[in-house]
Amino acid sequence: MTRKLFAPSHAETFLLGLVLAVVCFAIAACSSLGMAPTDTFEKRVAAGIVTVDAVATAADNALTSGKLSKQDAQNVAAGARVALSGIMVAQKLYTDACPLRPVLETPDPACKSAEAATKLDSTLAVLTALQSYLATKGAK
Amino acid sequence: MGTGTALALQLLITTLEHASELNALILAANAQGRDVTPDEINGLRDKAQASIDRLQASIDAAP
Repeated sequence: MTRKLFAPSHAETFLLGLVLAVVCFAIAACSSLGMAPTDTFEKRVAAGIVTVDAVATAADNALTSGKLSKQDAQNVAAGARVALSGIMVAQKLYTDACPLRPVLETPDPACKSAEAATKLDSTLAVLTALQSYLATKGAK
Repeated sequence: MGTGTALALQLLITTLEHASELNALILAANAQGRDVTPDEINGLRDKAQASIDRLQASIDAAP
């Protein structure tokens, strides 16, 4: 006998797709629909941090309203800590490679750091997986 | 509404609220012809850390 671990309804599948679309919307460059594009490293860092905040807040709300188990909430908290730490490491790598310009107090947007970009990309991938994890919890 | 649907909807609403906040920050920076500053990034980091701490406090208080 086989047992499905996760069998979402049509509404849940739709909502999960919608959530993932919004995650991409927040993390990637999305100039359509009035959203400002995250077209620099610093803006991508900001988007990642805001997404960590959103995941932690949503998990907190879900836990207190009984829609998320304590263990799942603990997993989300651990993942959020890892993601936030990874994003700040990427930010540090970037500012080390691209020093702040005087007056503007931001690095030159043309300055690139492959190491920082790789770290940020991998951390944002973890963050997307964390949102998927949270979105599917509670359906079991 | 199933628990999973409610949770996905809750996550969607929270994400949209935060995306709106991010949008305002980026638009303000663009209007001033600059990028997001380290101070703004540190402010976002502190806010995210506070949200994680609140989540941990709720976990610790949960039965």
